[in-house]
Amino acid sequence: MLVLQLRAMILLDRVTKLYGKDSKPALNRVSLHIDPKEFVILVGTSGAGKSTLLKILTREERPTSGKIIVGGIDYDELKDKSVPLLRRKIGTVFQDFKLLPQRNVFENIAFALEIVGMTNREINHTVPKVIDLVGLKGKEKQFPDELSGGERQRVAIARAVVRQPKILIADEPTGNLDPKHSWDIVRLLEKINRYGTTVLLTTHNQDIVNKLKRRVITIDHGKVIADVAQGGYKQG
Amino acid sequence: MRRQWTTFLRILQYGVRNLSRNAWLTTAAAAVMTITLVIIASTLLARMVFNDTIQQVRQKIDVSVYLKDGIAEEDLQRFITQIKKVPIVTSVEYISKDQASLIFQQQNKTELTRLEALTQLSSNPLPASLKIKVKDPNKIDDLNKVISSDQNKDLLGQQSSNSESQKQAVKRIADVTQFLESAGVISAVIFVIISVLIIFNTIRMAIFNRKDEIEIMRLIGAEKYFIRGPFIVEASLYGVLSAIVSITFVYALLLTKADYIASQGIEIGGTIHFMRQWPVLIVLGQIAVGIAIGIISSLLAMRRYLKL
Repeated sequence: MLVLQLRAMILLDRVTKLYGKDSKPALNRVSLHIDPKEFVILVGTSGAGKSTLLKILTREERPTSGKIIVGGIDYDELKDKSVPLLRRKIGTVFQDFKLLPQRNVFENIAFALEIVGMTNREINHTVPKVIDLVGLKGKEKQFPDELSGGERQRVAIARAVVRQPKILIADEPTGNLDPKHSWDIVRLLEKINRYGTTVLLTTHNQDIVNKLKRRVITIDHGKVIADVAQGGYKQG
Repeated sequence: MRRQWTTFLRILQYGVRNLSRNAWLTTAAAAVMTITLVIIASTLLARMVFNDTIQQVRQKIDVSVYLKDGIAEEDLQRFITQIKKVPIVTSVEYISKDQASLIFQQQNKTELTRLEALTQLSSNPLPASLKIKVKDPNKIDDLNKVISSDQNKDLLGQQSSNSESQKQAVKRIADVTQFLESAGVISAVIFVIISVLIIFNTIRMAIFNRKDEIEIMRLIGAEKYFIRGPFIVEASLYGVLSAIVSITFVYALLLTKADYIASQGIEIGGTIHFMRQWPVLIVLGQIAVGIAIGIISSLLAMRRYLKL
């Protein structure tokens, strides 16, 4: 356990989450570990527990029991005032993009740097590189409503990685996209993973999972039912 | 340190930007707070003016003691010396019978009947008197003791004091002042409450309008102060803007109407002098009150509606 703790980027040990005393557990003694620089896909049907797991990782929810260590931070010792710092260490991408509509591409990405007190000079130096990384060069001054779904998701990814987090959690990032744009996003996530970021992707897109041939963890009714190194997924 | 300073400036920038997003709401909130601050400033300044006026009137009050005819000079001087020793007495003036006659003629120069009546008498009926100025006409017990002592009561003619009507005037002014002060304080309190509620509602609406933005800020790891700070800045700016408008209005009104007010017998000189000597202090004080109202309102709204 200690060796695993030292090695893992994400470690869950018998994590359970109950909403209400007599309800079925949303997560039921889930144990898993994810090493640094891994690319892991979390699959499962709707209601399986994927979103609950991610919310627990980002501390939007607290587990009912169990141990969680992310990036060396033990959640048992995590105080409320340290939660913003935790969230800054984890880049998160959402299915609905969550972009600020009144800010353009550059400003949306820059926002992630503004909240940590970076100067305008540092921001002007850093943001263009990330815009280039996600393939949005030339679109800096456009606003979210002027972009396609795929482009908006690229902006969201850029915002998530601009602070170079060690972990990137992508919660159904292709859920609102067509197949072509979905693949563009997945390829981008792979590119980011190659740069050294641990990526945890949740999806119920069979096609993506089966073609990526990455480690697949399957969750069903709050339990991990499969953890395969080069896994596949069939929606049942 | 640099990062903290950068963050502080950003919070200010966001607050200013938020203020300019909804012009109508900003104008309405600022207008109500301006009225509140005008009432607060007016109440305080009116208190100063009325206190000065009362003081001025008090200084004009005198006690008149009429003397018998033909009293000895040494008795008169002894009487005057004893009166001067009473602590509340500021001055004693002896008015002889001849001086009294001249004063009467001066005061009644248009009243021919009265003048004729005086000249037709064979002797001057008007008594000599002592005009005694006191600090507080409500505290003349010690003076009365001296005047009506066994040693002095034989020197007195008809004792009358026209201080009574003046005392009544001072009392009326004091009563009116107290009433106006109370009315001012009550109005100020009512308008402070209204201002707090208006700013509270403005911030509540701002929180509601920006809930998506707030959610994103929370999820990407913004500190609570980074999320709350702009709302406090926004509310404080309402206070600053309102304070500047209100104090400009009060200054303009008082300085342009000072002469008219003074002509109504109201002692405004001291207050005008104070306003001219301490403009920075007055402006800063007003701004501080405005900012305090803004901050209190925004903290209440965020406590209720901004859960982080």
